Amino acid sequence: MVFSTRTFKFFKMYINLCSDEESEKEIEIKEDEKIILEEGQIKINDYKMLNSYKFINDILIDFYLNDWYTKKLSEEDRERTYVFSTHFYTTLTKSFNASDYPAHYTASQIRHGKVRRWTKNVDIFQKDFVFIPVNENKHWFLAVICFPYLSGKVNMRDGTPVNESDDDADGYPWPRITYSAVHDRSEADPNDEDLRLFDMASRENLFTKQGLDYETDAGVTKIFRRIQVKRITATLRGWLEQEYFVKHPGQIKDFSPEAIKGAALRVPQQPNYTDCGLFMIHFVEMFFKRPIVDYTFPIRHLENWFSVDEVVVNYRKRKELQYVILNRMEAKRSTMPEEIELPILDIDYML
Amino acid sequence: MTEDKGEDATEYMNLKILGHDNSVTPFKIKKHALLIKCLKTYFKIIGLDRVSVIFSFDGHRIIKTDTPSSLEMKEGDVIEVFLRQIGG
Repeated sequence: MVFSTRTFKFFKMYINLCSDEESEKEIEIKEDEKIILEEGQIKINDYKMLNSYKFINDILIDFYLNDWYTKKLSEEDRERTYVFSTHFYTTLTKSFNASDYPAHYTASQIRHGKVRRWTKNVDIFQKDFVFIPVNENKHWFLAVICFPYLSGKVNMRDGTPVNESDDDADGYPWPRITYSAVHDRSEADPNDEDLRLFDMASRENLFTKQGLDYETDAGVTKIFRRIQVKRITATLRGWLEQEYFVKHPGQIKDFSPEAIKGAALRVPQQPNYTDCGLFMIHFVEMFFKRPIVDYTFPIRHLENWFSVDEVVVNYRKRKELQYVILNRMEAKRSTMPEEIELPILDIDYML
Repeated sequence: MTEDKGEDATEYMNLKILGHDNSVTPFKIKKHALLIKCLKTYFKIIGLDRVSVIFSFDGHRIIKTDTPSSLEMKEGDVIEVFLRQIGG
């Protein structure tokens, strides 16, 4: 019998946690940790993230997307859409020890197991669009799974199969590469993914952040971004397949890259170091305001999807986010537990 | 919410907290007790900054009013700890 210190620790915690007594008094709530909006549990700290120089955090994104989904999206679109929280992809790719699982489990199965219960109330194969915010290396991405129930091209008007092939002329398959995994993550091998990438615009700041010099090696940027997207699509493809297997036992569906194509789209790029989260939520909104009408690859028309001014001029998107929060606070004013003083943000001065 | 003071109001159930480092912490809680109280104690013991994490049950972020009963939790269910994420 082994009594590790760990067991002891657990025991101790067990006792402490289950003592039902009010221990709250001992934990002093700092000003920054005060909740200003119950809905979304937004704290003063989160609110301060709206300052022009700050990165947007998970709390703000989840709150905004939830508000958009429940209040702004039409009922018809809401019905056919599912939005995962910002922690879905992070949980899916949480690193693990394969030895902790039965030997016949594939990595994809283990990953799926981590989020299996996230979809206990939804069958995403009955949705047209599944939105997955992805956070990686302090950058926000948006992944969208479109029409997961389809297995090939159809006419969007009447659902009849289409045999027209994609224009792959500009795209090119990738040679196998060795890649380094993202720290503390377990993702699928990007080499498994046949992703034809149609020259996406690069994002310099990602590399500045990571100490790579974009100016001297533009090629590095492109390759890195492609691997990144391939890793994400390969991982989500594996999840989708497992999800289908679990939700539709006994049925067979082709999830190969040929049947369900992955793409990295050219979209408007952030002109600064701070706004990727805001661009991400704008992408989600634009997806319905100016939808993709033709999914034939390569999808090029999103390059000028919208003007970056819609997001960045006068901190427009930050202010929109702030407005939604203040509006909800106003609506809940009567039930606010205490009078809270909101910090003044630098965007408050912008007209 | 503790509105239901029915027969099983004092019944305990065993849950687990899965830390961001994959550590597992079992704990016991009444079905109608506020989860956030236990979780606050967890913060203290683990020494985590409250601002830096959030708690989740099957993808649902645990809020102040949640109880095991309101979330329809079952014996042995797991609450996950997520580190906060930012991006720019």
